[in-house]
Amino acid sequence: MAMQARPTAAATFVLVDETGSRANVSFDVPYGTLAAAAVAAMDALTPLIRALTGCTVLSHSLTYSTVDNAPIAADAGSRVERKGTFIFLTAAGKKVRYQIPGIVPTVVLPTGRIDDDAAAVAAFTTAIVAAGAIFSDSNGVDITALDQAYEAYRRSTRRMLPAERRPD
Amino acid sequence: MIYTVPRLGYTVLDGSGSGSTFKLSLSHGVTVASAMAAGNTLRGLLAPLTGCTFVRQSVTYHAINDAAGPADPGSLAKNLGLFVFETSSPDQLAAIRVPGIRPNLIKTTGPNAGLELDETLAPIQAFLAAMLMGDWCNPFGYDLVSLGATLVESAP
Repeated sequence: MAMQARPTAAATFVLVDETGSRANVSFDVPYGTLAAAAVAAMDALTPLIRALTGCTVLSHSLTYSTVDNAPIAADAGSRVERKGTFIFLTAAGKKVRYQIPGIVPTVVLPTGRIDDDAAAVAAFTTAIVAAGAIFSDSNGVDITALDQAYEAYRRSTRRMLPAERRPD
Repeated sequence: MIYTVPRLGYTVLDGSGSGSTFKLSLSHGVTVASAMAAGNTLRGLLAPLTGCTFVRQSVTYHAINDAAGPADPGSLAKNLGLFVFETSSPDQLAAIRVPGIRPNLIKTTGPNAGLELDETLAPIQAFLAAMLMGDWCNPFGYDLVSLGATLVESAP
């Protein structure tokens, strides 16, 4: 099923009081609200929240979400701990790393390197580095080339452990 | 405010039901429509690379207050001010909890002294005016139209 937009975007402010304790206050804006307009409204609300609380407003964030209420089943045996790590170079000569959970073994070479010649891998990396692509590093600098791609594993958290892990 | 780059996020589930979220940075100034469109295209390219299924896609705009200053003496996040708004739907309300509500904004006279906020005070009036301008709604998309009630709470 296709992704469906939620009816609203979530606007969240992070506050901190005199003791250092943090808290959030959340609002909703209609999903069709332009981000620039919503952010402007949040900026205008910031001093008003300060006046109500005396707390410092550390930051605010605005999130638009789409969800798939009937997703197709994941592949049997797929695990989010198995990461496809892609390290890209930016126009500033720095690096940015993206990790894709559940990387399929078919694109991983016996050495652990991800086969950048595989069609699916090439299509993905091309989309990231293409001129005019909107992807960037955290400073907004364009991504220009793939530097490294390999398989890596992260530690399983308690919640990632299989639900049926006791002997039957 | 310092506006960081927008972030495109994907949440996936694997064959065991475990979830994971990964995010990519986007160029400054990208609109939601452009970001979502690019996200939809990229999701199609990511699908063959992962055995996980995509359940959520999001775009987040984040700002950091670089002129924050210290919190006022006596401010306590556990003191909550609850604002209940009526919405454009007769069957829907909206509840907004503001942590750290100032004690001097609480009513001191009348039958609800100590329980409600004093709506005659300037900070509350300014906040209510902003909330009822038409920018905000409840989680189901119904606009806030008027204040229904206020209440003072304390977080555990």
